[in-house]
Amino acid sequence: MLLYILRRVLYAVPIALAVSLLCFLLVHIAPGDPVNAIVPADAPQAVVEQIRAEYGLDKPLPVQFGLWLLKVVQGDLGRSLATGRAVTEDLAIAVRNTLRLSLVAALIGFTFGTLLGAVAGLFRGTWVDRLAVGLAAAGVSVPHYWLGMVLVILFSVLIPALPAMGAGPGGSGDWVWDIAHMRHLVLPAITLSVIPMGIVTRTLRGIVAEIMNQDFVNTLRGKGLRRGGILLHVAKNAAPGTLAVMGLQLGYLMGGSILVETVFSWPGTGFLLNSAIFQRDIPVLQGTILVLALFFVTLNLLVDLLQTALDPRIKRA
Amino acid sequence: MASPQALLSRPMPDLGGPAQPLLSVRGLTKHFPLKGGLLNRARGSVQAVDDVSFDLRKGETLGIVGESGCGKSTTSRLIMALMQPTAGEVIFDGQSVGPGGLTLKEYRRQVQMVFQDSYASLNPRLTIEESIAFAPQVHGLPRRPAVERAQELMAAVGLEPAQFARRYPHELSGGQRQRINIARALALRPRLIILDEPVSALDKSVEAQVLNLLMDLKEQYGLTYLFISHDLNVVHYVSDRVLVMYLGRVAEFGPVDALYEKPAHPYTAALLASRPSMDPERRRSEPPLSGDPPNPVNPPSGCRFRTRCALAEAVCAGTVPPLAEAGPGHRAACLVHAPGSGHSKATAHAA
Amino acid sequence: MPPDAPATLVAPAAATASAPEPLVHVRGLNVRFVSREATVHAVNGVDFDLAQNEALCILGESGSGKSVTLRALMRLNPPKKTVMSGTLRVGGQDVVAAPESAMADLRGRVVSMIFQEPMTALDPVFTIGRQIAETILRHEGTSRAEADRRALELLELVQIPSARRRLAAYPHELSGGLRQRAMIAIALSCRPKLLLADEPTTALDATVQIQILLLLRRLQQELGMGVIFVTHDLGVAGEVADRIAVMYAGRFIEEGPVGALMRGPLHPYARGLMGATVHAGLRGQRLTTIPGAPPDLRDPPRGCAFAPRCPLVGEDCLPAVPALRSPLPGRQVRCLRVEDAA
Repeated sequence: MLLYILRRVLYAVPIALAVSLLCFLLVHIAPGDPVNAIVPADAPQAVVEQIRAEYGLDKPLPVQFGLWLLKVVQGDLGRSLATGRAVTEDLAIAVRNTLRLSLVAALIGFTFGTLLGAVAGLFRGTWVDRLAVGLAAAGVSVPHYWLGMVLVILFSVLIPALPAMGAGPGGSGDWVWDIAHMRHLVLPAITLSVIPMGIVTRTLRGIVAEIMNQDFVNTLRGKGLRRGGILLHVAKNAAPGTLAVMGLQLGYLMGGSILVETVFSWPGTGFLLNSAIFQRDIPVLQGTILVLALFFVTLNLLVDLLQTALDPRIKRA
Repeated sequence: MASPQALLSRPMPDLGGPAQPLLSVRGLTKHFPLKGGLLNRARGSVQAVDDVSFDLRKGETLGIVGESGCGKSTTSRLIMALMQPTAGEVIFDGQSVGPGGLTLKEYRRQVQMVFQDSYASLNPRLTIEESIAFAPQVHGLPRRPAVERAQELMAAVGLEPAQFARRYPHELSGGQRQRINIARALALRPRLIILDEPVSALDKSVEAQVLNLLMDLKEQYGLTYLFISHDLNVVHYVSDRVLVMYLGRVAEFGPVDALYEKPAHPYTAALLASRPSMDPERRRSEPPLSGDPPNPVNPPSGCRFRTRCALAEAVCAGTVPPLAEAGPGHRAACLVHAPGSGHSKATAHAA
Repeated sequence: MPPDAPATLVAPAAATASAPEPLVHVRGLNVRFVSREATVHAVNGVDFDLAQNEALCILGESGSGKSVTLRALMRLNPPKKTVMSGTLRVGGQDVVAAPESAMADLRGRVVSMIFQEPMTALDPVFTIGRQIAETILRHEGTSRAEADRRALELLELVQIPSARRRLAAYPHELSGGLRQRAMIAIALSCRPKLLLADEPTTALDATVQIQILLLLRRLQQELGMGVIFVTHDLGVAGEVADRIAVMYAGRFIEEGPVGALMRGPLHPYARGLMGATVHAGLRGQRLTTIPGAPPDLRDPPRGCAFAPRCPLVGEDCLPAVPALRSPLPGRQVRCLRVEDAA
């Protein structure tokens, strides 16, 4: 098992490298000179060149990448072109905000998805099943931002029960887990949770129905196990596949949703990314994408390892 | 060069005469690498088939028997060129198969295969008639004569064309589907048919029908059969000669009556003794062998059967037993039959 | 609805009214599978008794209703679409109408089953030990440690080598023969009075099949269980059965002691089936076959179901299903053409 973990971690290194190269290149391939975003349009050429040199934008691409990577490894993602603050500083706040939002959204989505999916799979063909399938389809197909706006209109405008913007009473101040702050979390979290809810419902329904059709369920009935005892077996068989899907969904959520965070002015990574794109703030853009991509790689690795630990049939060598 | 139509209307001509084997298998070996470790390098191999050689005579039925993991199905797939051997070669009527010899297309025209799973072997979207006519069309026969041949073959395997031609595989019973698979195998007028567990999935009464059919077709079309099965009784019934395999190697090879009446290899003897007695008054009291056939990943050294063999001695661990003479045309890979092998039951000196 | 055999027909084993209740008591058992498209008449009037300590083999081809009959004894057929009627008692407990909770108490404790394919019949993500122990915990409420100790004993009983290590093994880590032994250990974990086996050796290699058959025969004798085997293989029946019942189109068409039945089957179908079974000494001869195919059980014939394929068929075979008769002592057959012994 240890050898397996080691090998999987080793495999993740080239992926992480490739990801960083990609997000480094992405920004340089995109049209538009990043220097133009800093200096006024009528700035003298000498100033432009000076700025270019200062930010290392005059060196050949491979050298730029090498220098950038070297700094990244040391935890330095550069300074924002727009604000001059260290990227890591802004990113740390945004990541924390997005984590809060996505974990709560995942909690909601996974709980309801698991419930609906399990019930639908166990009672296939009944009205409960049809209801769950309908909800799942709605969750997956309703556009995020639209649902967000509908919720805002319903619960902030028509019935002013919940705040529509920001991550706390003071806008985007320090987060505290109190009622005042958590009220700001409700609408965006619900909005974000519907897609994972729908996907988990669908997946689990399929997995459970397939398990219930397997021969060993008959053996369990033949042993005299009651419904609860059989459910335990179904749960353990369904766990690896379901967790894999949940891990992937958690990854998407942690990537932050540009649309939802923008609708609710939630100061997370999506929001940060959005403003960085509009301001051509390359260091912020690179840093954010890199951190999100590494999140994703790590999460996938964890899900893989968890799956291996849960399913004895996957070879652990 | 004759037209494909004329070529496909009868089997390819006999080249080497009746004395030349239709198929010669020489040192056929297939090892599947096993991966593992930190960098996923090969850590060993599954020795699925190891140095298997035999000749198949024209017009005979050669039976291959053995239990799971003995390599009988891998052997058939190697012969059919469905996978690349690690070593060894297949010679068809004096010509090698592959570069410099028969092309795969020429070879597969003459060698066809029928599998155990009658449903999976048929394209579910083609009607029965289309399925049978498919291969001849690929080989250049125009549609009309191909369909005519399909109908003729359906009649030959006992399915009324008017009734079955337009049906789909799922509308047939297992026995009917297997008849269609046989008809399809015959469509290119092959000389050799490899039958891989052709009746194992069928009910007993249907099994008898299909076996009778196979015997009739062999006569009618002058076929040679390679018949692979785990069922000793069926192999006994159909075969002229029998090859017994154990863990990828040939254990025994000989004429069917000699092999069934006087098995020379202890494994063959145990396999035969494992058959239910069919007489409730003379039931078995002790199983001939204990345990399962070992895993072909790390086969025992020397004789692969020695770990379960009642006659095993120290010498069996160190020597790979050669196929020694056990009677006319009858060979067994057991040191007991190899003179001078050092086994206490073997004759002391080579003859 | 197909005409069923009159319920007054009683197997000789239960002829005397004062005899104690046999382990299994079946009269006029019908099993239908109802769906929107069709109703399949899978079992059509099966009668038999099984004594404690007796081994019965139900022999038949696919679709004959043999497995459905076996599953009916535990009410394991798919609950939503199965309709059962008739009398069916196992160990004195009614099975046809009992509430699900009573059935759950019966299953695994009084009656248990071994399935054909141990690879799929065992839960792949639970260890062998756990799968044995949970049955004991379910029915006997012992401590976990006690259940684990019993699990070890059971693995030794079914002759699994290095049993202690195998307790922690997952099904895929065992060979086919060991998996089936583990399956047997699970079935025996609460010392059931009745063991049902659905083609228990069909998926196994020849040298392993005979080991499992001998093990089952020994266990049946040592533990004094009633055993019902379902098989399509006459040889398997010959190794383990006391009595054989041949099934066709959902009915017992012949029943009798194993030796007599294998030496001289009476029913034309049973004779055909045995003639079609390939065995030593048939080389060079043409195999006898049974023409045609079994009837469609969505619309079973009114008369003898074998009549369309039978060489001895006559007008009198068609109006009604022939009753079970006893033309020879100890033998029963559902055919009008079999002559009574003088």
